[in-house]
Amino acid sequence: MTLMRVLLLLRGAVVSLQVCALGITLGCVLGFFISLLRISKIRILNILSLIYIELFRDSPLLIQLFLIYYGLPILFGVQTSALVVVTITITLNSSAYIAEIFKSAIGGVMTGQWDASYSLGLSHMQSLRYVILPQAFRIAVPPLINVFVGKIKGSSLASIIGFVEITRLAAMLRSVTLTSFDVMGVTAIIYFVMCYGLSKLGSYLEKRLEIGRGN
Amino acid sequence: MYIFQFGEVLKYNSMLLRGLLCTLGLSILAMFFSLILGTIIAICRISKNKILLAFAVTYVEFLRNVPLLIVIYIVYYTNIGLSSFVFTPVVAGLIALTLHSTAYNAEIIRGGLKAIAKEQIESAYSLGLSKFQMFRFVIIPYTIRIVWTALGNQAVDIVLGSSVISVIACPELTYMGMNVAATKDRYFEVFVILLLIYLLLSLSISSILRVIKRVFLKPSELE
Repeated sequence: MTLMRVLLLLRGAVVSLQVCALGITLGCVLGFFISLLRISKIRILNILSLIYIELFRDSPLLIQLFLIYYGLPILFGVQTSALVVVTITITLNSSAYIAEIFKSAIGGVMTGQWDASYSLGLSHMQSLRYVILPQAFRIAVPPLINVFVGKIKGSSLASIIGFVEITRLAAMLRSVTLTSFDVMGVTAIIYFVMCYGLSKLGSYLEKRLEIGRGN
Repeated sequence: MYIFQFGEVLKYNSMLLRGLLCTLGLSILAMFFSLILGTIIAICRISKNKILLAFAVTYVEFLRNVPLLIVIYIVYYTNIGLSSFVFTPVVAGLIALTLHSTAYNAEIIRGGLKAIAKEQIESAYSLGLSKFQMFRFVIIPYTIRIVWTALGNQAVDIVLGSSVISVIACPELTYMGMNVAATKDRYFEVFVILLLIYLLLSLSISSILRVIKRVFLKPSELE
């Protein structure tokens, strides 16, 4: 392993982080709306959102990636880049996990908070918007970071459809240099540093926010 | 206009079935071995021996923070210094899957062992139970009950993760599906069918395990 190759892998790691950050951000927006459907009182919306969540959580990420990769041109007639396919996959997949996180975070806010905001004369939507959600987002931060870590690891599968990120670069380097152990070893270490660092940040925030919650 | 032809793909049901059997076999073996190894690592993780503890922590943290795909590449492409010795895709896949899920199982089992209250062990001793009896009648039944659901999720994760082994041409469900897709140039239909099979598989595994828990494992106040 020369320094150049390590730098190349690090460049790939940045690409992985970027595509995951983009996918998770969009996934948060989508997941938020799905979680609202999930806690709504209309039964059919409840069931539909549950099906959506189970669909993405109980099937392999690789199959989802392939379906979107081959499905986009067929169903919508659009030829897109691997970047778009990977972003859409991470967005849809993470939104299912994030919807469940938001749902339990909203449920995790004490019911007394609802009663209190009702008694102040707030409507259901106002209570949700001004009282419940601000508290729910705080509860949701540590599990959201876990989803981020999971998607960084999952994004390695994007290399299979030809998206050039760290795993793809590692596979290319391996076939050029024919030295698999050091290339894959360094790649594993880079992944470890990214994911371990993020999950440590998650547990740190969990402790911090737990103290701040005071209930 | 694209015309869907699921029938064309389903003609190859015997290939898909063979792939499904391979997926199931690999998953069961991987779960079996990773339960044993996971228990050993979990015991190392709660032991007072510093070396065992460091080994267990390193193993768990490293394997949990590295993608399964990388583990597969390392196992498959690294011929441990013996140039004539290479793992077949099935063996490499099994090893990678086992190593990967051992880390997760170890954490789950460690959590289960730690959740048993000290008082429970003390009262077992005070009832005159021997060490073996205590393990047999107190620790193991309670631990199984505590870790059952989490291990069930892990079993589902193994089945879903096994699809990744297709990249090294191990003849499991995803790889067989890819072959069918390539033969007929029907990628979308094949992956829709694979998605449904995997969904059915993971939903049935989790419901079977839930039924077993309800019927065979007595409730405890530990949860």
